[in-house]
Amino acid sequence: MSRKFDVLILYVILVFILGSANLYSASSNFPHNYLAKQIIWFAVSVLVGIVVYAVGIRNILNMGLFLYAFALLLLVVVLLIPSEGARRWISIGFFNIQPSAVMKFALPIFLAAVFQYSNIDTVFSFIPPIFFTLLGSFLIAKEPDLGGALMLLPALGAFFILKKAYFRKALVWIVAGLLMVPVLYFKLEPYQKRRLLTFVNPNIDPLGAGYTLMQSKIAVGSGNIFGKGWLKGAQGQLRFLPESHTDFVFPVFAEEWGFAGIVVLLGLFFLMLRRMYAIAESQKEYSSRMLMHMFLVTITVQIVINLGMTIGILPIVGLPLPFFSYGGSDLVVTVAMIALFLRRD
Amino acid sequence: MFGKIYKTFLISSLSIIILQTAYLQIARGRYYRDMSLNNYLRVLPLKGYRGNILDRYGRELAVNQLKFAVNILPDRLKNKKDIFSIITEEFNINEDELERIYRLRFRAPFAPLTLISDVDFNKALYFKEKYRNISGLFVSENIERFYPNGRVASHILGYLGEISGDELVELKPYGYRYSSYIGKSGIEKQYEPYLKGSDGGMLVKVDNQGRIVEVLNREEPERGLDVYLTVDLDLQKAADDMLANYKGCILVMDVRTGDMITMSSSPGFDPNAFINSGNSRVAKLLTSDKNPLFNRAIQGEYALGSTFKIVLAEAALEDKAVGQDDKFFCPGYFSYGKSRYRCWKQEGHGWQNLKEAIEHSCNVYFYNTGLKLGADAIAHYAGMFGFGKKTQIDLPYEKSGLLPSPAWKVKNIKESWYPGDTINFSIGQGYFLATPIQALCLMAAIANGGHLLRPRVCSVISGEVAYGIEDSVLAVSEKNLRFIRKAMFDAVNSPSGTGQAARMLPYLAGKTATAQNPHGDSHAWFSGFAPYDNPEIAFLVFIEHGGGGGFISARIAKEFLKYYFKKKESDEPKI
Repeated sequence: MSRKFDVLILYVILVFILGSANLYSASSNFPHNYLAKQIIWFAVSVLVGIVVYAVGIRNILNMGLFLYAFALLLLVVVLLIPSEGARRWISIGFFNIQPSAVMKFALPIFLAAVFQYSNIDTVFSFIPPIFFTLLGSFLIAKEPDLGGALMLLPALGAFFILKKAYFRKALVWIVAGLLMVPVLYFKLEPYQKRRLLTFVNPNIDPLGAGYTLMQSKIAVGSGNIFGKGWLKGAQGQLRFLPESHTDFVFPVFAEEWGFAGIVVLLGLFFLMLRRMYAIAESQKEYSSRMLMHMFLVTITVQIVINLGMTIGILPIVGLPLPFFSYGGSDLVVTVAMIALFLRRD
Repeated sequence: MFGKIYKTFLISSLSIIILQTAYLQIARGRYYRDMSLNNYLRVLPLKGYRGNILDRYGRELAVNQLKFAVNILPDRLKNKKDIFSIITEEFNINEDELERIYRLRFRAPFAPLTLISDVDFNKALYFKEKYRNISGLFVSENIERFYPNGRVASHILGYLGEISGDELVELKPYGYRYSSYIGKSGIEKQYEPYLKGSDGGMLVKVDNQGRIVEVLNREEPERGLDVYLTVDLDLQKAADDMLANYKGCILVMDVRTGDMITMSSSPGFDPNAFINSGNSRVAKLLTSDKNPLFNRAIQGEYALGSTFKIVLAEAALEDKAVGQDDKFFCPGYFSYGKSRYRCWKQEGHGWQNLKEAIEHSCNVYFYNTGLKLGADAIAHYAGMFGFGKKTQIDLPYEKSGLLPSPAWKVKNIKESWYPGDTINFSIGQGYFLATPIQALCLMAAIANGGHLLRPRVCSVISGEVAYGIEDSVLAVSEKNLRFIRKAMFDAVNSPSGTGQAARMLPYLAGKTATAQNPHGDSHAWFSGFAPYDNPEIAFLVFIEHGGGGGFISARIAKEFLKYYFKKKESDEPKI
């Protein structure tokens, strides 16, 4: 089983290098050394990736049910941990794992494995996939983590499209979903509502939720064409930008590298995603192809939502930017997904 | 189908993101770059201290004091009510008063607002430590003006106030800012450009907590210059005390230099009231019917009464209208046409020569003299001695009094000048009005041989002479002046003189006056110079509505001058 070097590795490494340089700058005035931690996490990711690579897609798919059940268990456990604020992490000794990230990885495998032979052709045949997805989303939303909950939906959408589900039959569920929106809105935490409202009008709360968006746009906008230079972005360095090492790491990059840097970064992301699409398309096995496409859509949507929210075209939901934001669990999961692409059939 | 949807989604999303970043970074790049600069650049003013005001021996009259204040930043407060309850707990103030101060001083959500000023050092430290984590609440240190002697010399010193809108427009190029304090009256106003000093500033880079990360530029502030006054604090204090229950003034001037050694006007005020006290104390001063901000010495315009007879006597001698030995008969009244003009002594003075007329302050004699001189000649000589013009003392808002003449009356009253006007004018009544400082300059000119001095309150600024002695030499003969001085000496020291209440050693010479006025009791004047044989000082005591004969003024003058000469003997300033 001799394999050629895949150009996807190059793209990933380039994106990770850019992300690391940016994380160094974004956290250079922080008490913790986030870059060092991130590099340790990257090493862990590579180990996990090698394991996933070794196990292979077929075996992974066979573990679909188990993985989903395991992720559900973690999601329940995290809710049982007493905490004053959000309950998003389970602490295992010296590191934390994020059950929502595990679910993000497990759900597509579960869907691809369990429903690989079922046809989605009646109104009721939509129910099981929707149920298992929303069950995960519901538990994540309870943490609360709106971004994490939403990140299960792209895979589900991709699943239906790949299944060539009858769109007219799906209409019932789309309408039902739309009717649920107001109900869900009332279920949101006050800060989540504020974020949505300030997306509609950032001026209603300039010192609260609108502050983050304002500072984010100032960071991006003040980067101009060529940026202020590495380690020289005032918004990030002087900490006007909240969460500049996690969800709002992109504005730090935009401020320091300008429009030119953004074009390069989006170009790299585009090449990476295009290569992943090509690999997925090259899969002969239907279920492998389906799984890869669901991973691909998950990563793509995550990138688009993160960039979109920092520049004010999408509401702020709190999602990390792959390879850029500090965060171990998400990095491990992303690398594990990539590892499957490299393994192929 | 999936491929088409995915590719469309990817391409369109990335395109929208690229377009939006291009919009933010290129189309609106300048705007966001300015916003970013606004975020982290701050100009912090460094205050230049105001110069001190000192008396002639260097004793402090106005200085700077380190004061602590409790302030809030309205837009950083999480809950105003909580902050207010902390403050009412720690300081002696209730919530309504706090709310009133808040509303009064609120300028903008981001502008610091002082709630409690004048916090002492220990309390400030304690408060700062205890509440340092409360957002929007902070203790500041301020350099504030302080007048250690309170009301003493208040009219000379003046007071400070926050700069007004009009002043700011005019003075902005000179480094004044919104809420700068500026001299509003007295020396504080007159010497504002010297006292002020200049503010410096720092251009700093701050982080999101407002902490200074880097100082980009720094300009040092400059301290204002010290202003030395000609005033003697001890004498000023004594004069202010003596006038405590009167409206009026006590003035003492060095007849050789024009230095104002004492300039007391009553009632006075405490200039500290204008510094950070809220508006109630200031409003009280501004609306009091006693009018404490009014400096009677240079702003009060009064009928001069018999003091003016000195001008008339000098004019008559210079003009040769009457000779020293010419006599007039005083039956107690003077008839002109159908009118009768009284002398103050009903039974009359009988035959009087000029010296006797001054000594006894005989009105009838001066009615005759005035008519012989004519109104224009009286106005000419009065003008020569400085009446009708400001003395140009170095204090703001001086008034010029009113020097009438036949031409003036036609122009301003639209009536012709009658001989009766001349008669009234002759004894310092009628239209004629003078300020106390003008009368003092007259006395000084009589005493020093005809030099009309420009009075000064400040002599030295930061070691350099502010302005020197300025005088104009009057075209009067020393022989005539000597005659007047002798007559004034007799007025105090001869058994029949009107100023006997002021008789003392060393001899002083003076003239009493009772000035009738339409507002009530007559004003009591007593003015002159001392010592008689070698004059050093001219003095003037004026008591508004002090009653007839100038008695009360003469008594106060004697008391004050006794203190003056006693102090001079010991020749050491009391510190």
